[in-house]
Amino acid sequence: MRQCRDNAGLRCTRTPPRRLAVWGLSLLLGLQTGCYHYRVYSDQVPVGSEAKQAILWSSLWGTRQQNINMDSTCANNPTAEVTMSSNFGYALLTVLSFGFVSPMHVEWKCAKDRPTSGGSRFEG
Amino acid sequence: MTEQQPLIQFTDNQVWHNKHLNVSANVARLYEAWNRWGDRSRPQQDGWQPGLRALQHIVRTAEASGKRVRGLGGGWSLSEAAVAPDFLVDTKQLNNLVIGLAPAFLDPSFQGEPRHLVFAQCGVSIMELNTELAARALALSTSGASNGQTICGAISTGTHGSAHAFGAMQDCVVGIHIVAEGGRHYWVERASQPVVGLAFSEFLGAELVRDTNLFEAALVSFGSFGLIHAVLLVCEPIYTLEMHIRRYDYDQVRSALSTLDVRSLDLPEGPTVPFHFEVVLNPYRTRAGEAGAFVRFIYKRPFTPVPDIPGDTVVTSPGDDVMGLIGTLSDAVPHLIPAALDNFLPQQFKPTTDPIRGSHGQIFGATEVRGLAMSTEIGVALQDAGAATEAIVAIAHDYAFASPVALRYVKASSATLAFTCFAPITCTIELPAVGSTRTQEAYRRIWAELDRRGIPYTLHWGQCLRADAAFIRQAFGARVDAWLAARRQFLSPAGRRTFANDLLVACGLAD
Repeated sequence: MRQCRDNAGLRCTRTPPRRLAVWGLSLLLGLQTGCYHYRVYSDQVPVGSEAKQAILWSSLWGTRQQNINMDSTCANNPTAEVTMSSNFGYALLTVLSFGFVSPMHVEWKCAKDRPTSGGSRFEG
Repeated sequence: MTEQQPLIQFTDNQVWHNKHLNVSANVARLYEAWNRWGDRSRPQQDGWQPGLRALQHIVRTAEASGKRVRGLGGGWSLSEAAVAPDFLVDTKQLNNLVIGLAPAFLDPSFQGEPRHLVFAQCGVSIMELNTELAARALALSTSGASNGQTICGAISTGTHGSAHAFGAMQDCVVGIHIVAEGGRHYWVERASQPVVGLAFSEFLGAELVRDTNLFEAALVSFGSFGLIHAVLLVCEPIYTLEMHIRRYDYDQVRSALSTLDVRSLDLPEGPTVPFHFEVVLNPYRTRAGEAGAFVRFIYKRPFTPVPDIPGDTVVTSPGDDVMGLIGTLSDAVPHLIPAALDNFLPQQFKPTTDPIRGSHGQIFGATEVRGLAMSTEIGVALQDAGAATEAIVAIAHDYAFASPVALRYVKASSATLAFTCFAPITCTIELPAVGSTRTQEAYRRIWAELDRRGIPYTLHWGQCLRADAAFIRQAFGARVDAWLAARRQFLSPAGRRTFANDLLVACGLAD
């Protein structure tokens, strides 16, 4: 480690402890809470499945993208909830690739059929 | 004519998490059962049929491959009640509901109102029940605080509100449709309370079993008697709930905790105990002048409709990972916990100047909690509620953890292993918290302190509990023997293994 600036005039290269603490805390918080979530949901639409998930990639600066067709996973039912999540790593990848690729974690949950549809022969 | 095959989807080698993210398991196969036939069509009527066939098929597949199988509802349990390492069956799509049974399908001795009987398939959520019942001017007699559970999941673990004169959710049930060994299915009801006739069970294709001991054992059994396909509930005419929230000092509510004597609280109806009486304590604010007790009390009124008011389109909420962060911080800096609760509780329990009115479903609606959470819920006799609360407060002062102390009151249940078993009224003490090592340790200390003070208690099967055979025996006494006997009578040794999981084994209930 080089000496701090003193009478000889050398430039100080040691990072002050306070700055180190701030960086450390920022990194800890960033890694700890590093997911950013956005959700589309309804309080009135009951969820009918466990979360299904995929990582989708948008590439070539958005000229090519991946989408989810949920027909095969939701038996033609609509979705009840969709959550899109990014994190520090995805953001870093997007920046480092200059936007060439941009991943996104997607979760979706299927909706249910209407409970009383069809009726029943023992119904009063 | 070849019988139609049900639509069943599955994923192998899945990591499954419960809703509160405190339980995870590697599952060999996660099934999704549907009320659809293999060509994705729905039946024109009797919409439950494909779902029943699906459960039968899955049980037979599990048996053929020597696997254990468990039904999965909303995933709300904070214990491992729903976990099986082999086959897990997501039942949420099995949500068929039949409201009102035709008299031709009822036992001649049934004296109740056929219109109030509800056949609910296992995956019907409490929210769906509330909505569909309200549309027919009916309502559940009680439910938990929120509506995201499935009916069978809620019943099977002992979910409850604070209906001290009624009981827990399982006390609405008068019939259980169970898919057991070999895919054979049974309609089980109390011998002392026949409701359906032979015509009904024959229509389902089920064997009718009238056995009170079996019924009471299977009622709260967290999936250990087979896959529950459906239940028959008794509902009541719709009503309006009138909710008030007030804030008191701990000393002002102390006497009411163990007696339900509310005279000193100056409630609108004086000494009459409200339909729902709940006390939420900040354990760090127990001195005079600190107003650390939040009392939520609800009266039951004749129905007057209250329109739903849609919320905002863009909703700002805490991030999904905030709970986990708070857990980490509370482990690292526990002396901040009291201040955090000082901030949190008044926001959650804002005192009301005018009461809030609504139907059962409107008052006990969606309460979305995201992120890593934990909770344990202790059941004690009414007269022990004060002593148990003192024990919890003492632990909190010695070892701070991020949880309020929430007391509710439930009429004792007849279900053999209901944790609300202290007659005539069980006080349930819930400790919802952020998920953290500190929370887990606090729970252990509280349980040990209750033991040390000689306070008998049980634990909610759907929340963090002591999965320890000795404790279960201590808590439930001879009821354990009755439950085991009923299970042994109903299932062969192979069947008992098929419908067991690690929690059952640890609790000494798998034999």
